[in-house]
Amino acid sequence: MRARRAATAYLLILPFFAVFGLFWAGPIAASFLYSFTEWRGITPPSPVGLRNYENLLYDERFFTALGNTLWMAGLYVAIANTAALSLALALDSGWMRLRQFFRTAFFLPMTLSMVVAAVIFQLVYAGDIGLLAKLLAPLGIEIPALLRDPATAPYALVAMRVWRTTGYYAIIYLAGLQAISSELREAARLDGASELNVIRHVVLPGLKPVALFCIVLSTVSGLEMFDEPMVLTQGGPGDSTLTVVMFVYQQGFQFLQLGYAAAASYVLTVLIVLVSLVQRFWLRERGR
Amino acid sequence: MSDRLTPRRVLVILALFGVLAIIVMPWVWALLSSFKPRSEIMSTGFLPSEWLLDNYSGLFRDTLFVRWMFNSAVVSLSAAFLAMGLCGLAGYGFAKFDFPAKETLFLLVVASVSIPPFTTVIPLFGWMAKLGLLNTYPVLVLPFAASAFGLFMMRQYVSTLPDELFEAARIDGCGEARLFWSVVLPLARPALATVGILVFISSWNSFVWPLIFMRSNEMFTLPVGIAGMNSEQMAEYGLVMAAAVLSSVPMLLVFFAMQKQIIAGLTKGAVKG
Amino acid sequence: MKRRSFLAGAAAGTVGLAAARAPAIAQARTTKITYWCWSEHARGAQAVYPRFRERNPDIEVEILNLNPQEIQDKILVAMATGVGAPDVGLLIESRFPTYPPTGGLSEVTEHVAPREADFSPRLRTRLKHNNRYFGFPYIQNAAVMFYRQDYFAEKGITAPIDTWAQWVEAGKRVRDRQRNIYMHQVSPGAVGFANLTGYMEGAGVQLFDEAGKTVRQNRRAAEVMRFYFDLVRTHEISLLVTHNSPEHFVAIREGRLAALHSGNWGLDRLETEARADRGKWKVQPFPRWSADGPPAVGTWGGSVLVIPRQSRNQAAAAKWAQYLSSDVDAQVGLWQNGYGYPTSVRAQADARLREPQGFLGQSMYEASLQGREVNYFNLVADWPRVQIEMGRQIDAMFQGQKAPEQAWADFEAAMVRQYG
Repeated sequence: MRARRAATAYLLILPFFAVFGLFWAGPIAASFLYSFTEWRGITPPSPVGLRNYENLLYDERFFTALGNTLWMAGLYVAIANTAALSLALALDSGWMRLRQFFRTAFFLPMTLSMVVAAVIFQLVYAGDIGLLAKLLAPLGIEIPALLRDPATAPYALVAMRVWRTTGYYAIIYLAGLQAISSELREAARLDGASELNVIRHVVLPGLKPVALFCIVLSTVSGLEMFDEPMVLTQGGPGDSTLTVVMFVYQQGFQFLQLGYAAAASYVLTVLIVLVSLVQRFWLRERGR
Repeated sequence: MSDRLTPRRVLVILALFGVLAIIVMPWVWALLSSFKPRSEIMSTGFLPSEWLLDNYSGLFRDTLFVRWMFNSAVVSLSAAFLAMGLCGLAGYGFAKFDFPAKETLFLLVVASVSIPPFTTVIPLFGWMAKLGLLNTYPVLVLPFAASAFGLFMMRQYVSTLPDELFEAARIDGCGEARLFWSVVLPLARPALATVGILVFISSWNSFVWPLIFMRSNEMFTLPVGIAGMNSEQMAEYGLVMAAAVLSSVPMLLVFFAMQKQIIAGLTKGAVKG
Repeated sequence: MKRRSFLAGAAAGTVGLAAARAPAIAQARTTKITYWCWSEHARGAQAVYPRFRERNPDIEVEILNLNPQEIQDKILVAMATGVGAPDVGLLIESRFPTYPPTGGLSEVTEHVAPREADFSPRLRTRLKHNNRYFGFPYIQNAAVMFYRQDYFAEKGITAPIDTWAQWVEAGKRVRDRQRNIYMHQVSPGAVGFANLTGYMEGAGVQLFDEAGKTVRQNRRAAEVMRFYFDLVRTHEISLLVTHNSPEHFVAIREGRLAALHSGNWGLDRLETEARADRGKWKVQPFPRWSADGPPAVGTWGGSVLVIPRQSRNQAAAAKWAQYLSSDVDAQVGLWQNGYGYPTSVRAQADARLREPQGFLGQSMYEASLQGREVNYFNLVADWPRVQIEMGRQIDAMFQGQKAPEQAWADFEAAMVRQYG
């Protein structure tokens, strides 16, 4: 009976894993092997052991990329989640009408694919003729060409990503908020708890799983940032927006160092796994 | 709770509308720009001096926009439905059965999310070529159908369904196939809808994948086609704006129509994570 | 006025579809090949295709208009995996050296070597790898200077301006802080290097010797770098903005630039972006570094035709590439439909190159190219690496983090680490 149940289970998961194996697990394993080779094109890869990883250690640009990726992703995760949660809390207030309307409006940026959004933002940030400059000109604020200055370009990219995804995360947070039983909140209020206290002691703890979901999701996507620097800055000016995935793209597709590129992406993979484990652990611990 | 407008509430509402303005502005601006003549796109002023449909007619006449839209729709819808099937089946398997290597397999899938783009492209490209899948729809559909998030979400959701239900059905002589079809699927509909829409979104927006695996103009999807209008050699901003506006409409409609299911799925799926 | 450039792409699609509907009998005899290229090249190829078809009724070409960066990436993926390449591809010339060592390109010596006399000796070195040809000469692009005659006339400046020193002097007169007018524009970043190339090559500078080793203590190069910097920061006559960015287009359209440094194909851009100023724009040769120096200019882009080894239609592919490369009418057609400067010496001598361009009211060839020798850098594999490194240094220099000389020294050191 148990064997039959297991067989049924395998049958159920078989279709998924057939596709998953071919399109994900297989190539992931293959490129892991490539990361130990030197491979430049049609000639078969030649094994070089750990040399690609060693070279990464001495590659100044890789560390620049790693640094940029970490702080940009960190900033993005912090802003996007704080903003999304605040929006969700505001919308969740019982007296808020128009919730549907806001929810749809918040979804609007997600309907533009990242590349298309980046093209639009190219014109938003385009120096004195960009939308941003036009909007701020009446206030007497002059906006320089944000993408041309290494001091501002990373922020411009993060801002664009925040713009694109905050509404989406707000929708998820809102869904989480509405799942928290309103009786619980009502009870707390009747006990004389202030609005802020209700949020702190009843709402936020109940929101933990959603927060975990959103934070992990936004972290992973933040650490894999590529489309924006690709379309808007090519990693410049002066490598200020060079992300690890952008680095991988340059090494692999422009310099044809396929083994080296694979090694760089595995370093990033390990980093992502570590970060999400830490986040998971941290949020779980705090909830106890 | 009362419905009175206290000063604090007014502030919150004002802030919300402020955020709303920021969120909507670039899209509205794209919309306005799409009606402008070519020379006005980057000049001062928000409203077109005259409202022209040139960019739209240009889009339909000079590019394969309709074809790209069709490709995107075919690919994304197929991916969404296939993902609902694959993830539904597997999610049920993971939620309600015990079998050797269960946790390992599940972790493997979840960990695959951490793999950055490009890592898998080079090996895959060779394999797809051998299978004759380059420049075909399946190569864009299948990888998105095996969605790790989808599996994760279905597992969470199905595990919230009471075991007794399944036992009762089995005692009634219900086979596993029928059980899945007439118990799991209907009950998990909100989660399935969520998986469908998430997969739809990621497929609809994906860029790197179709860029590399599609080899001809007629097989491009919207993002690749639109990005092609914006190369350094030929920046057709008016057309890009028109294309951006039109390309966002289907997704907006999908979201609008399915909002309830999505919210319900998110609430129970992600939230229980 | 020309139609939008990707029209050609859409048309290519239609051609492809129409071909699919051709009768089966015809198909049995017809070899169908694909050709990947971009914007003005697709337009040019469309224009000269009917003549090719007449002469080769058995070969059908599907001309695919793709984004140039994408073509390089896609062909590279094809090189790496051995599948998915077109029959003929167009490569950005500076990126060409990366491809032959992959082993993925067909050797084309038998087609190219016999007509060596018909193109520049410098190009011979460029297209060879281990002394064998892997690319067909296609078009070269020389640096030229477009300028606003009305602005020059207003300040009593007579063009053509011969040397850079004179250019700077003229620039100081043209520069108008009130009206926000600059002499011309220079780019930061890696794009800036693409522009700087035209300046350096014109000065006869080499970054690498013929063996691909870094030239050390490259004083002349550092001087050009200093000059590029001075244009913006010392003389303040040039606007620092990325070439072909929205800001750049707007500056052209609003008349804030009195000149445009560019390859000869830049005319194509001017015709679309500055439509209203038709007749005001003229062209002159790129300024020289000294009045007694050679009349040499640098390149500005340029591309190479290649045939991937995977192509199953090698013979037909070679015919198409050879046609674009060597047929005088084809080469002239590429000039007339996108201003690609013919590599073929016979095509350069053709009377049709001397016909005036309506937008300029003068013959671009006569006014800016004729009698100018085109200098070339020695290239190394993975040129984007050179571009990216140089882009970083250019940015650091314009940010004021280091002097141009230091930026050059740092660049040289990085190149020595990479290429020896």
